[in-house]
Amino acid sequence: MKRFIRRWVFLAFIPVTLIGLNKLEGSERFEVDAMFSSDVATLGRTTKYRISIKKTDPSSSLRLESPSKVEVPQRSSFTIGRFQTSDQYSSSESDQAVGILLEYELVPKVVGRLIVPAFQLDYMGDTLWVPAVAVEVRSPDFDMESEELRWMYIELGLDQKNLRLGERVKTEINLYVFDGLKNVNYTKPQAIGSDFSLDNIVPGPTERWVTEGLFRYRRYSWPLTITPIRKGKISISFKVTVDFRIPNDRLGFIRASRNEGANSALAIERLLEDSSEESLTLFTDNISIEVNPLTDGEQPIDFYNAIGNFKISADLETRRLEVGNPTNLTLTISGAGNHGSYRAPELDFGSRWRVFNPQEEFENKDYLSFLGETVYRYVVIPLSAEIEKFPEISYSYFSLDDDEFIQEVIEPIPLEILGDSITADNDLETEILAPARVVTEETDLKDLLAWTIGAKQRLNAPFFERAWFYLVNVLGLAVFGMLLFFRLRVLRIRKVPELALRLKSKAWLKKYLKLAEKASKTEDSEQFYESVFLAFCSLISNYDSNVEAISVFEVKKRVRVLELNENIKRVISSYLDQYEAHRFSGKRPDDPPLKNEYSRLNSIVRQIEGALRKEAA
Amino acid sequence: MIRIRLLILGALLVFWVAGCSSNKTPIDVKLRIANKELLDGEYEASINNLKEVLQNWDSAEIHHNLGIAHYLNGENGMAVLHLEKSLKLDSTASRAKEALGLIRRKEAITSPEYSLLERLGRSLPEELWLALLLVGFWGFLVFGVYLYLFVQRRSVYRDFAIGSFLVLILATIACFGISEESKRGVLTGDENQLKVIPTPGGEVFMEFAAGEPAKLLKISGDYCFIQTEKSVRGWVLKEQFASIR
Repeated sequence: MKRFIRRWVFLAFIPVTLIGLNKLEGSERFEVDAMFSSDVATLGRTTKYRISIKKTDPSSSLRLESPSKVEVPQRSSFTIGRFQTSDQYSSSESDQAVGILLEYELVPKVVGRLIVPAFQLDYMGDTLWVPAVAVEVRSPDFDMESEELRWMYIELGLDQKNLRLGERVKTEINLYVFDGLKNVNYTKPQAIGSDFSLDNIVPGPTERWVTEGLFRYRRYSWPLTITPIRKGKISISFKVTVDFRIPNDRLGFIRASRNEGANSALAIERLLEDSSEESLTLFTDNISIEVNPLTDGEQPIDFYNAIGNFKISADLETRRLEVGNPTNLTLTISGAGNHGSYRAPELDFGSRWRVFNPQEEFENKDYLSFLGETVYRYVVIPLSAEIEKFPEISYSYFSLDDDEFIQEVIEPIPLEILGDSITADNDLETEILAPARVVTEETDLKDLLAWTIGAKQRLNAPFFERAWFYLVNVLGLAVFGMLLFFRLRVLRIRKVPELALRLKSKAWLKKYLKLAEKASKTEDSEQFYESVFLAFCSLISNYDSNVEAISVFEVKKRVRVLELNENIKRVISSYLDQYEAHRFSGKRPDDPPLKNEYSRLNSIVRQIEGALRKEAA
Repeated sequence: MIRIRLLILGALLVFWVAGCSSNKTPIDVKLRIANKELLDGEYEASINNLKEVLQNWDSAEIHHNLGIAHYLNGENGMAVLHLEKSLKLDSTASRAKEALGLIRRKEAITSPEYSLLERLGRSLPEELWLALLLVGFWGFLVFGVYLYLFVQRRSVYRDFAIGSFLVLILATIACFGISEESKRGVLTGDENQLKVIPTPGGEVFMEFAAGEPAKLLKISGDYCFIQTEKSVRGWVLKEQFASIR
């Protein structure tokens, strides 16, 4: 049994030994290696698969041959394309190649890890063993999220974790853009959120090249100042939008960018011929900061919101003053801090001095209003000849170095005052020593209490939001509209005589119809028929002639041509006959029930009016 | 009969006079009591008394005292609100200005910054702007439209019409300012949380101290949409915002 096992083990070792010997023999003359041009390939895009055959002894006189074609094992995960060879030299002066490079164009067809397996290669009578090699294949969309390369990013250089409310902080935003990207345009950094204010930022960034890992970047830096405006935990972040041009072959672009030299520039130029415009909005990381109030207790009364590290000085234009003549007091606040956010001290030196509001000038020493000098120029007028010193001035600021309020005191300045007082000099000492009078304490507040109830008032909505305002004006407009209407009517009557005549005849018609109604009620047939005749006259005169000048004949003639029912024409004619009979023969007209006749008259009048209107139309 | 009527009338007159005097005296007295309580440090009692007075007698002085009482009682929001009301009723009240200045300075409360339109509206009393608006409007209609166009084309009518029109335009602009200003109010809550959406679970993105000025933009349910002096907009609970008017 043991002999049987030994024999088979021996037989199994024969091929292994033969391969090993073969390899050992090959390794004597050549070293073989396989590699990809990069560790990462893009799906569907050509990458380079290389086999390097090098002489084991570079000094040997062995001349290397370029094979016409080497068969690489085919796999479904990739396709092999063009093949080319190139010689490798140890130095530029060497005339004999130390190696040969076999290069294939390979196109990956699947995403993931692509392996070109190991295979045997017959070369110059030797059998060489080409090792397996792998490459990571990524989808084309992967480029911008690549972990290895960030095309661009921004950073906010803020190290502090604790700030004071209102403290101005100087910091910097850096935009890194991968070198080689073209047409790079960027916006100014914009603050996100309302926990802090962006006070000042330089108009344009400084630019320099930096290397981050394997890649070179252009770095754009914006120094700026920010101020937290809310206490508690706040977050600070900024954004910048960048437009740029990038080649579509991004991996090729990265490779070309990493190979320095003229060839690289040319390759980039060539790649940029097939490129696209992109736009990215970049955000800095959210930086969390704890913001504390300046103090938990009371702030000094002469604190005017100055936070930083300052020096305060004051000077008078002259020490020899005349009562009533103005002079300049210059108060200077210089140093680093929240320039522009603090106020001028409110100076009130009592009745011995008149102080005007100051003029303010600021000298910016770092373009960020962080380092600088604020000069307040007060005009002061002495009002008393008893003044011996210019009063003391105090100004407190919150020192960030000391983390407490620091009070700077300007000592009283000795003065020589000429002239006579123009104010009463009561309580001299107290006035001289009294600081600027501001209401500061509860007791002062209590002094302000009102002891009378005052006039009764009410806070209402604005007048134009109240109904009465619109009601009154609408009523007024209605009255105004009526006034305008009558005025227009008068003007029209003046302009059109026919209209005046028509209105007059209408008035007559109304008058005669009323008389007819009255007569019908009193059964006065004489009056009734006369009124009827005159009413007809008024109707006829409506459009042409004067009512007084119309005869019965004319009325009949006019009625005849009107488009009226024959019965109505007959009734009209009978009315007119009755009138004529009475008028010319003294015969008393018929005495039918006149109330009925009056209602018939009304109907006839309406029909005549209709006919006349129709005719006029 | 006449005597009885006269007696009844006399009794009514006496009651009326007595009623008038009895109404007025308690207000004066209450104000003094409230002030005394305030001086003695009994702020709550003083506030209650002043509120009672306010129900019968709305005046700049009462709002002023109420503002001070609220401040001393630690209610900065209500203090600023009443002092603003006092100033609104009497813009010349220097004491209210002084008290407001002190409170804002001590409590680091932002002062309202009025726009150009608002400043125009505030430059004259509202009643005067009303008068100018009416004079401008009716002057233009009467002189320009009626007299000049429909009665007689006299240059004096035309000049009056032009003048009225200019007054009308100015008063209209001022009215816009008054309208803008009427939206102003004060955040009165202790923790005035500005929310992104008007719901109890809405994300709080900012917090303002009591007394901060703000403008009311709209109301939805229990929330007001406001804009603060820093141009930050958000929703606060209705009870945390009070209009000055």
